Amino acid sequence: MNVLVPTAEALPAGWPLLQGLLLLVFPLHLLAMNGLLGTTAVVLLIRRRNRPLDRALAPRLTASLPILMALTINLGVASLLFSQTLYGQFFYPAAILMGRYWLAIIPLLMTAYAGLYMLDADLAVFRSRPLPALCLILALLLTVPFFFTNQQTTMLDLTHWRAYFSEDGGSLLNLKDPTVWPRYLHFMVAAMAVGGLFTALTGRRLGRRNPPLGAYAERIGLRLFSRMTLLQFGIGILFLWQLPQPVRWFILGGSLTGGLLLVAASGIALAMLACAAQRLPGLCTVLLVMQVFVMSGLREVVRHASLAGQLLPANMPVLWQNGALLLFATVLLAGVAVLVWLTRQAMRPPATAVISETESEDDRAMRL
Amino acid sequence: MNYPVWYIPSIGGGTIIATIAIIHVFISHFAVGGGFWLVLLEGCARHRRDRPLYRFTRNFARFFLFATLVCGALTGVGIWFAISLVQPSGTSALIHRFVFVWAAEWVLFLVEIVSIIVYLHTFDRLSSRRHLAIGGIYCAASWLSLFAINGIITFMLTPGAVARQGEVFSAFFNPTFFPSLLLRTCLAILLSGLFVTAVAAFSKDRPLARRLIRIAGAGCLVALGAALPAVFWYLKNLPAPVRTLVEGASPTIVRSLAVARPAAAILSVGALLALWRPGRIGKPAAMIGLAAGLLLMGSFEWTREAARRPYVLQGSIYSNGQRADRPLKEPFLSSTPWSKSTEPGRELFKFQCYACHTLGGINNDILQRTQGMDAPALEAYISQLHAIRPFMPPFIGSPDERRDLAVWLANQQRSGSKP
Repeated sequence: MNVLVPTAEALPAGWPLLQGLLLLVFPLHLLAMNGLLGTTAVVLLIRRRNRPLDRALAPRLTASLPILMALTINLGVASLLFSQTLYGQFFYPAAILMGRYWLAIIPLLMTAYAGLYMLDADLAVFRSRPLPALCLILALLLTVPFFFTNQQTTMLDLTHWRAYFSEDGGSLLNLKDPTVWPRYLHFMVAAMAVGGLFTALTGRRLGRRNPPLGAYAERIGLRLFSRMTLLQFGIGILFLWQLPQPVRWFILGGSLTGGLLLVAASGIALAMLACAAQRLPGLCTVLLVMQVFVMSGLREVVRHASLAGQLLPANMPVLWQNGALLLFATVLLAGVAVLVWLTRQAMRPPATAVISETESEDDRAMRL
Repeated sequence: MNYPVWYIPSIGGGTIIATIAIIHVFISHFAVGGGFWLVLLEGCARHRRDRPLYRFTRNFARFFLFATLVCGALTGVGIWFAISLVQPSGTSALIHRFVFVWAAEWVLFLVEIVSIIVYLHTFDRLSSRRHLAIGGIYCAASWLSLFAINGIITFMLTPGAVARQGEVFSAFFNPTFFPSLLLRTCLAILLSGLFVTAVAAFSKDRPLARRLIRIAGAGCLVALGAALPAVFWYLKNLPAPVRTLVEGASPTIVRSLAVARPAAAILSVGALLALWRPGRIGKPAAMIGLAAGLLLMGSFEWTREAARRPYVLQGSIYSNGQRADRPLKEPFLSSTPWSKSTEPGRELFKFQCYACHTLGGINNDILQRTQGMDAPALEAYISQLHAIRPFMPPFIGSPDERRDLAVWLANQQRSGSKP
């Protein structure tokens, strides 16, 4: 056991349960984050082209970005919570080693978030020149996962921890780790693919009222999705190749779970390509959600293989908090029910509330 | 503590946490009270068919969403990021004890986000009953969120007689849980009232602004009035050593309360003026009110943090991250894997003093505090540290290590504090 690894605290529930909760919320965070990052890139792309259909599509996509940001942050909180519970003894040292960058994530996100709201509000300052603002927002959004990638790889690379003895001011990125760049690229290319699919789904929705716009959004979205999924095969192989040999072997046959997950991921990726070619964004979405869950499972296999000998779940003490667990389950169920009701209210067609198109918003509100 | 320390001696981790925390509590209490104001104002507007008030409520909701989601939510995550860096032992202990409470709070946070977004986007689309129900859901979720976090924060100050990690509910409903909840609810109403006043003061519709400022002033006055007994209840439930600190034994708290008193006075006078002559509350007065609210909130949080000393988790972890059950005479550096042996004095400062003291920085500068003391005087002082100043943790280490720290500090005094 490496002496630098802090002593783990007693777990508040069994490892499988906490791991399951992490594997439930982290893929959802990834989906929201990828949707946000990829869709921001799509908005930048179509604003740059500035054709009539692009000009019509851009505000529709922009309106979703602040909502995606809110969900990304919220789901990220849950992922961090369970991640710190399970892997705190690796998590905190990794964050401290790169403390300046870790804390910089907050102002970066705040600036990007504020920018997205202002862009959506179509403020005069952005209306005339939206491209520089979008470039800045995208650059910020691309920087945040780069810092996260460094932190997550530092968690696994205990040899890098000794660098602390020559630099304790929190400015240690893990750039010498050969997996950092492929891992980062893997996430970013995935984000572009999800952004493409989100655009296609928006197109499907818009197509009911504006068929040309809907068809256009679906076409460019699915094209981006297919190209990025294809590119992901290359990036994925590069990432796999850069993993330390024992970890790579774990995925390529050393572990049944790892091997099965890799086969499943490859199969789902092929199926997604076929669905995109057939212009089936709904089925693509189902497959994508499955893929993100499978890849998150694979990520846990890589983490356990990388920390072999240091992370021993079976030896960790457990003090079950049954009452608190029951409370969480109750709040979760009630919360999901409320969220479903809220979503239904948001989806209610406004037409049912409108008598005439000449009626002002205020008049309608008073009548309602 | 077997975690590394993020060492930036000119700024100090405490300063970073305090800066983020004060902004966050200011916005997050607005987020809790603001929902109540939204529902109240919208209900009034619809009931009286008051179109200007309805339009104001819609615009206020837009501002509210931007402020609470962009600044409130992210500074909340920011506190978590900062405490993970500065107090990893305390953070880890809290997370492992309260993970499911935090997870429940996460669900409530999600309901808050979705409900406020749906509320804003359905303003002119849903019936009055449904729309107000969405506002009500936001209010309930945000107050329950406060309820959850309040239990964790108060546990840090007054854990009560809890010993086992599995005992969550007795830890959660600790001696100061209810007084703190009442006080924070009052502060939420007060701060959100100040925001309503500020937004109204910028409105071009002066008659509407006067009406709103009067309503908000009444709300603020009620909140201030209710906060007073809550403060006394809170103080009564503090353990004796903590109450002694709050009542004047801690210089930090004395300074903090010196800020709180004039801020509370300004707010009381302002609220009375808002009721009596709302037309007198213009943009400058509204901004002064907000600044006073920020100072009052900041002072409350600063006092609460300082009252916890010498602990970060009362009775179990000292504010410098060391476990309270660690033997005091045990050699420190040899049992601290993240320290290096080449500069023992610097390492001892980093692991035992730096959590609260900067080195030549603006907040609690150790060079100022030890000015004029030579190495033997410092060594004698360090050996009696906890006895002389009970709000400081005792020094942990061998006599040789105590001398190393004293000599290093004396050298820093001479060399003018370059870390």
